[in-house]
Amino acid sequence: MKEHRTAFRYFTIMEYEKEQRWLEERHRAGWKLVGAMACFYRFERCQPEEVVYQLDYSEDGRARRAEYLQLFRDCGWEHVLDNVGYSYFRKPKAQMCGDEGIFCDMESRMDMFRRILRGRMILLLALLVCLFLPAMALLIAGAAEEGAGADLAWWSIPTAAVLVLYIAVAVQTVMQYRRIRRGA
Amino acid sequence: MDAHIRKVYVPMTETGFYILLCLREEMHGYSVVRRVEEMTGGEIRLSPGTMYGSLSKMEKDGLIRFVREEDKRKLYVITPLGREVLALEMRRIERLYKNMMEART
Repeated sequence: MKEHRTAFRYFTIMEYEKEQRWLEERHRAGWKLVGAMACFYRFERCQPEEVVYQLDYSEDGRARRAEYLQLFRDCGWEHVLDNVGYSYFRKPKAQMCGDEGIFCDMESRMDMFRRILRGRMILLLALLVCLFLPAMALLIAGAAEEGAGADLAWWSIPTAAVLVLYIAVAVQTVMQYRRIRRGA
Repeated sequence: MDAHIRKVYVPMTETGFYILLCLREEMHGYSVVRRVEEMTGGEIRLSPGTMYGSLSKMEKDGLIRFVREEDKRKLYVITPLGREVLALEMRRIERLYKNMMEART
């Protein structure tokens, strides 16, 4: 009987490198990734090993899956799973000569960063608009009649939460951009 | 050649240059990876994410085109536009090389 464990971890769209490091740590501790659904990760007991985990975000790759995965397989990368637009790959360090990743230059790392921004920002902006428009409408209605203030207060809680998250993601985006530029 | 192509590909990345150089013959992505490894004595090992991204970008921009599929591997070949870009790059690198050699002596 294989031993399994489920973990909950939230990473923002810009924290893919942090997520990679976390998965590598888990594998080093003898837990390999076998499944993921949004923020829920499923691990299976395994031999502790130094394994490199890499995430890609590629709409083209998802559209032409067979060809995309074959190229990674040919280069020795195992495709683990797909989760919320990201493809997860891993390769044992023992099979590498030196440091290896799924990207080998700054331009392609920057390209992936841009694909995430394009792919995700539209969704995030839509969510923001959906929360702000009702708030604005309530504010205008509140100026006209009494009692709308309570609705506004209620509505402002999720709006504020989303705003805080946005500011965090914006800061992370700038930091990630600078990290790639520095070549770190 | 339009301004966009010129801006994106001149000068181009080492990866981009080797892809165009190899695709003067039709081949798939992984054969390009292996060919480049041979050509550079193992010093340049192209990674699959970089390779895939470059191939799909170059195909969209019309520098290379899809030829056929062989066991899930797509074969590509350079287009006339790709050859034009490659020729520009070769001239640029030649100039670079010439100036480097002058500086050396």
